[in-house]
Amino acid sequence: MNCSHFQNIIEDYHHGELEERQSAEASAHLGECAKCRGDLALLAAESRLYEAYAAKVESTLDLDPDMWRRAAEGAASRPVRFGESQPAGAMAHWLGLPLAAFPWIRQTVAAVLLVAVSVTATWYIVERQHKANDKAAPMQAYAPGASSGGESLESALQSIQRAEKEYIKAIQDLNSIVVKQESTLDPRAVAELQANLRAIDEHIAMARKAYYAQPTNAELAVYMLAAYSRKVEFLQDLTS
Amino acid sequence: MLSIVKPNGDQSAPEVSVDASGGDPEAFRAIFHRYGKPIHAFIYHLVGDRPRAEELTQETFLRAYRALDRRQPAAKLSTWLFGIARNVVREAIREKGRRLHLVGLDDANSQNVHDESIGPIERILTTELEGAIRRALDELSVDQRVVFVLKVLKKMSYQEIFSVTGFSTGKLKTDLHRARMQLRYKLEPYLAGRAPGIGGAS
Repeated sequence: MNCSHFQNIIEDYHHGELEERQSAEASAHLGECAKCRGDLALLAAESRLYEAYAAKVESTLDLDPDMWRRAAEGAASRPVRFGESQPAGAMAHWLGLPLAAFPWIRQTVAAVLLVAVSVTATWYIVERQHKANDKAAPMQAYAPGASSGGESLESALQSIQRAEKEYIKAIQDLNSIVVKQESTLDPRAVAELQANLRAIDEHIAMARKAYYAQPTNAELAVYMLAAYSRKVEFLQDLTS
Repeated sequence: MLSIVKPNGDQSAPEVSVDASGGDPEAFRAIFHRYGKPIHAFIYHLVGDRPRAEELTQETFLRAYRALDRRQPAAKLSTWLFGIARNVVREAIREKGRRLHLVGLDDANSQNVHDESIGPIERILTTELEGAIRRALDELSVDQRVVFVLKVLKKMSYQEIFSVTGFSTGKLKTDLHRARMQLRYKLEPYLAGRAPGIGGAS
């Protein structure tokens, strides 16, 4: 081990977080490097100072022993607030329905996003192919089943429709969780939530109308799927 | 149902284990008595304001009480509570729209210690230095402050801090390193030549 390597793991060594083998290598390096020994001594001295500071401050903190009673009473009387969050690692969340109970939702959302990405990538390739074909045979280019290019286009159109159905299904599933919990939320939070959802729905309707007016337009397909994606992400944020 | 178990690596402070305590005031009281002070201290180190720390501690336990029956059985109760406390503090800071500012340590809390039996580190903890540490902590980002307090002051493992914050080990280490370097830089003028091994570092 050299000095550079030791400096990268000095904090871990100090806190005893290294594996046995790496810790032994670090100790061996310290035995032969005065500079790293000095750096470690500085780190240790600083830590002792901070610990002493914490101990001194904490010894002066007073906590009302009956606070638990007020907290319990407050929990019973106050509605769950919008965005009231739980620890990241605990999977609990403010809606009161841990996503661990709905693993299929995460899977569905992930699958939908993957489909959307792959469909739109394929779509661009197909569209480029058709533009090339247009120059040679303009009337044949968008005729499903008329050529291998037409088959690809047909396939891409079906993929877009499948992706849209998947999005709609994911949105319905997530929506059902949110609706179940609305009665326990602050009414102002519910109003804000509904206003956001209305704006997203209007965006989806507009994007959908534009796409179905020109179903072979790749950009509009991407635009529509992005609108669905936004709603999925919004609902997912609420439930995670 | 409430039971007491010994946590790994901490024989002095048994971990309270709750199997199913939603709505059980006795279980909640026991949890508060075991974890109230550590959670209160953690929050105080993050916000640096005593009345605010007490208010946020109550908010933490309010949320904990409401969520106890939804807690993942595998989650350690202490890290679960620290996680709620961290979220409560983050939300409070966000709501204020600015950093919570240090309020000066009052005299009763920061009297110099002249007891000859204590070590040199404790002896240099003057009111001025305590204030400097408090201000330096306050100038860290919230994430850095959380990681520093949990690792250096609370001596949690990276795994435990992950359970509290959800941060990757890489982010934890980066935040810890930056916090330590910033504190070293801020405190160097107060420490140079005053304590063996501290201050005057390059």
